[in-house]
Amino acid sequence: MFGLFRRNRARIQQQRKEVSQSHDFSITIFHSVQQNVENIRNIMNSPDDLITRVFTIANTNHSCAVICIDGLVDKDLINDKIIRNIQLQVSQLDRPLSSSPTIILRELENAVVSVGEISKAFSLDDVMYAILSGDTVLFVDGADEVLIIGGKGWASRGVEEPVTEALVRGPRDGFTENLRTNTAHIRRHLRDPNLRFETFKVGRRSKKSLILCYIDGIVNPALVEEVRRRINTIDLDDVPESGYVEQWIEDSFLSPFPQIQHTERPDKVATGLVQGRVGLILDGSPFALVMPMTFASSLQSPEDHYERWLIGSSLRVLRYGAAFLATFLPSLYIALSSYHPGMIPSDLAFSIAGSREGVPFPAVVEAFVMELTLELLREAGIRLPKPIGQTIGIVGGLVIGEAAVSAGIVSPVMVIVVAVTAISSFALPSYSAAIALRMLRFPIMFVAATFGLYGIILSYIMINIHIANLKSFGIPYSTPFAPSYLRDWKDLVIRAPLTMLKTRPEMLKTKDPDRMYKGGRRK
Amino acid sequence: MKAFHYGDEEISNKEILISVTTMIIGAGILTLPRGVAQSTRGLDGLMAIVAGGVIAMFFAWICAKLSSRFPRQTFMQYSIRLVTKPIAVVITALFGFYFLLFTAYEMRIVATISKVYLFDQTPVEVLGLIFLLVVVYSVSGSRAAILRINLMFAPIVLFIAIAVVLMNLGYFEAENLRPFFTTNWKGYFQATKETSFSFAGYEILLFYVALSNQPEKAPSAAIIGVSLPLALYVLIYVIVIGVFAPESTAQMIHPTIEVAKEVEVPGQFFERFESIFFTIWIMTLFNTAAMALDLSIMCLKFLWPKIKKIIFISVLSPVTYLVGMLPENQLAMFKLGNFISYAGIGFAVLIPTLLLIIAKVRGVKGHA
Amino acid sequence: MHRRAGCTVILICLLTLLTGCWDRVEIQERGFVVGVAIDVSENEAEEEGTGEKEERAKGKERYVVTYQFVAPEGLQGDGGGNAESFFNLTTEGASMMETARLLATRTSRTPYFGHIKTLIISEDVAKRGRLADVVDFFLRDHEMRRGTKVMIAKGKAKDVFDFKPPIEKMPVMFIRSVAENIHRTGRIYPPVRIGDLHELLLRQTSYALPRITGKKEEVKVAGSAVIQGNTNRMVGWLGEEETIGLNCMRGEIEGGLEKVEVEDNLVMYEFRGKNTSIEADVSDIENIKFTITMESEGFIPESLKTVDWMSEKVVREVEKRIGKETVRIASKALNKLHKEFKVDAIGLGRHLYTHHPKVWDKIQHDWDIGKNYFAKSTIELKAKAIVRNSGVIIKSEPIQE
Repeated sequence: MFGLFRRNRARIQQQRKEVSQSHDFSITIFHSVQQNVENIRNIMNSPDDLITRVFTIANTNHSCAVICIDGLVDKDLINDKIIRNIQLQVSQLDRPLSSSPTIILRELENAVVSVGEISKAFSLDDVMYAILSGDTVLFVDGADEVLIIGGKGWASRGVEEPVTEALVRGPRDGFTENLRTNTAHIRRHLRDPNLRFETFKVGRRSKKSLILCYIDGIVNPALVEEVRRRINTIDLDDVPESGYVEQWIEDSFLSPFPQIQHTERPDKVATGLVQGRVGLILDGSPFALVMPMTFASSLQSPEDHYERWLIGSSLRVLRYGAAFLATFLPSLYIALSSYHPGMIPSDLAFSIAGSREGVPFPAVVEAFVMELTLELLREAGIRLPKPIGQTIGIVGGLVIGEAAVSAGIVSPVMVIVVAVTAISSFALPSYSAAIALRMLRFPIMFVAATFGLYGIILSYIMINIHIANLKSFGIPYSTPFAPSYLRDWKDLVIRAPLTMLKTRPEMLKTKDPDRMYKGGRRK
Repeated sequence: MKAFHYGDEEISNKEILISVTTMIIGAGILTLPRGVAQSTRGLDGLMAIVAGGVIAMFFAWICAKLSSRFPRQTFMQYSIRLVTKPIAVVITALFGFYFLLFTAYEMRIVATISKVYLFDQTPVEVLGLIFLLVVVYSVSGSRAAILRINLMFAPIVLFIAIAVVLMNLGYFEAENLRPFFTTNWKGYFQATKETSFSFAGYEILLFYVALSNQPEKAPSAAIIGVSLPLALYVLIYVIVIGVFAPESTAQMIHPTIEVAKEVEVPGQFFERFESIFFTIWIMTLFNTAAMALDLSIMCLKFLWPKIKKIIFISVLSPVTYLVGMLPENQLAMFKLGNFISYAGIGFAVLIPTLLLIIAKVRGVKGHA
Repeated sequence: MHRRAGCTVILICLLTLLTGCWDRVEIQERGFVVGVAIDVSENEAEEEGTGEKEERAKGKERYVVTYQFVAPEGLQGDGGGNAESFFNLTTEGASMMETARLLATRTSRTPYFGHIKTLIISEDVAKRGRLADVVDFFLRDHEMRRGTKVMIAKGKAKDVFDFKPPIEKMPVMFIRSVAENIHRTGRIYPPVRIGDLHELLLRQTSYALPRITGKKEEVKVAGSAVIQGNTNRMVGWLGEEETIGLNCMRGEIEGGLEKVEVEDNLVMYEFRGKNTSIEADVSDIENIKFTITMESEGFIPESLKTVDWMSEKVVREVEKRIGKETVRIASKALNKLHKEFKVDAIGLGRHLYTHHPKVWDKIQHDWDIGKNYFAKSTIELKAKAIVRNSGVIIKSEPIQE
């Protein structure tokens, strides 16, 4: 069925492509500067932000043109290092420039334009791409080649602390929308010459850079090959966020669970790379992707390794508990109170019964209403401006809860249950995993309301079946529980002392399995 | 996205081991102490359990030995080489039918016990149906995943069993274990027969070893796989007898659940431990049912290799359901259980032993 | 695979929608039964109102059963105390289940038995040997728990539930807490859980159950009822002091006081542990000789007689007297059981079963019934006490010369 969709889509795209290529502009580079400038202006329909500066090279009668887009380039650099140098510094050279335009271009590149990032282009496609991605293009009248001068400089957000993944301890810098800043972050964490960045262009129209990073010699080459294959299948016109990439290359789009980790933290990506995972960074998105991912990794936070192992381990155990509560607590409450009151300790059972006296709804409805209200509050809290968001949290949480109880619509115990559930779901370090569990909560509540504990355990079994069948880049989502890699259990629920984590995760089948060559002995 | 393999459809011996354990424990443990205590006195039943376990270990070893003699060959393939095609077809068909009955029985047990301990009005038919649906969901996934789920559930199930044992220590009366060695031979024999039934289930080795990536180590995995339930049975039996004494154990339908009922959780965090215990135990029952249905499909697929798995599933699951709902009451259900146990002894003991002897005599071995 | 998964999920959802919720009863709609009191009825079975005689199967006995329900509203702290926190319902019928189902005609709340704490059986029921009949329902039904405590009421069992406790909100909770005071006094027979009773009934050995006495003003848990194992008939009471004796012999005492006379005044001794060992000489079945050795340890909480507790001689002397006193108390109970009731509630038969199974096989059907080998046996009591310490002071006044 999906295959049919794909084929259809491919046919339509073929037709569209033919239309878009039938624009009547030339796709060649002319020898004349004037023609080139006009051609480019025509292609882009002379927008206001296109800067085309044509001037004569000092001491010659050759003209040249600098083309760039206003706002995407560092204007100081263009003025000082390009235009000024060509206009002035040429005259200070000890010998005159040659008369051949191509040689002039080479001499300009060699001696005049004092910019680090420089390359040559031979086709209009490359030229256009360079201009549109913020580089500056230098045409010399009559030359066969075009100089592309890297002078990107646009207003961008500074490096800030990652908002969604705040830690108590750990580096506070986060990724930004700037691709170079992001790759630089990773380089700063890993000064390994084997760190590889492979650039792909994704989005037929947006042509964004997508960088595939891994450490050669650690990572399993089959994994990299698979990621490459999947990236090459991406056929979107625009890729505004790395979420698009994630959704295109993930294994199963029917699963509620994220199969690729996304993170704002460079240290998390770096740790992943060293473990033998593969990272993806998309230009314009502060969220890097790390793959493959397992269920266990959604409950791990970098902090587990930054803190001492006892603390790290207990935090992890706590998170496993939180994941359980976030998924099952409301359904357990429903099942116990409406089906198996015998399982609640007598005194508590009587007090719950007393507090539910006069509540008009069955426990399911009560739970649904409260959980939905809570999800609404959470959603509203994100949209609202920050200072108001907090107020809404307090108003919603305290006032609505209190009012609902005193109006007799819900019982106080339910408010506690909902609150604990909410707190637990926010204790999970991975936002998307937390959302998945929160989503699962609702059908489970429903099943619990029909079959009590029996329904809960069957839904638990179903979730496990799903997890065991789900794969992320060839690795079962349930690894390392099953298939079990006992060596990986040292960094699973318990985070063993650093000296004992001698190997990289066995499940990733890395080329170089050892992390410590001296067997983790401290001197 | 198209699936990408690291060669992960392979199964390690850990999965094989735990699958054997799960398959053996199944529902047997819930009733085992009753059957043993009915014919023995004091702690004497322990001897019968150990004897049954050792016998099971031997035959599990035979099953594993047989199938590891033909690495990566399915049961059908090597049985054709050993006993000609027509006989192999008959044996495989019988196995298919046996596993189908097994699934039906497990489903019925889950439905019946849940009805007794968790529900009052909800019909057994519905409880069985939703259990079977979950089993079908699991069977329609990959075979490796079914074995992996065993591994995921085993720690939880063992934990809850150990918890029952530990929390009952307070009610344990050593006096109940006495006197020693006063049972007569007939009693021992009866009890050993009873326990041998509870140890059936290792015949899955005949089929699953073919998936193993280290078939040569399967026999030792099989022995460990049987010794785990043996240890658990011993532990549970001692605690049940210590808490209830053999007289009342013999009068309880599910003594293992009743012993969980005896528990009062320290700190009174929750009560009625037996509900928790049985609920968790559904996981084991699910595992055995899923494996049995999967094997049933596997056997039928040997016979008709061209038919798709999904067709087998959609034909077999209604049949399973109807067979499971056939017994009209608890007594008839236990009768079906006994029948399956007798059949299981035939399948787990006779067929593998005969096949292994034939293989040894004719010297058939290794790859085709 | 995905499509199949989706189908299954949808199927299950549909199914749950179709089936509705058979067993769902909201927690506030349940009537939690916390205690049951069983009395014997003298009335003939008759249809209410019409006076017609009931023609259904009658059974051997009719019971009047009182169920105590929790009224959760009354339990809430800020209720102002005007709402009652419990109510009793009494029905009559030939079996427990019959009376339980009759409740449904008398209360809006679905009776729920998952939280029964105590089962109080009147002495009449016990004396007629109906214990097993009465208890069967509470063992068989899955809602019940095995931890329910069983007591025998002196007089009417129903009276116990009418008592208004001073602190607790419910009589049943009050009784349960009192029954657990066994480490404070030896006068209470250790609580018997209904699960234990099941074992005792199946084992056919005699046993005792704690006694409860209920009046309007006061409820007291002390003493015990002795029940013959083969007939399950109650044979008589053991008084409070005799219960101490029985507890000592069974080695089940966890606390309690003994007063001994030293010269002209009293010294108190509090148990903190008891170890009883039984030895049996079975060479002659007609006269089995038992030796029960009761070892206890404890401390001196009060010493009216001023003695020097630092002197070893004094302590030894007191220990000897405590031993004597223990033997006296125990033999009082023993006499009653051995000579008067001729029923072995001490567990000597059980000792024979576990330690001399061959002998037991021969005599088990005539142990404390029929030929009554128990009555023919000789029982010797020995006691030993250790005073672990004498409190935090030595004397409260100087020793008078």
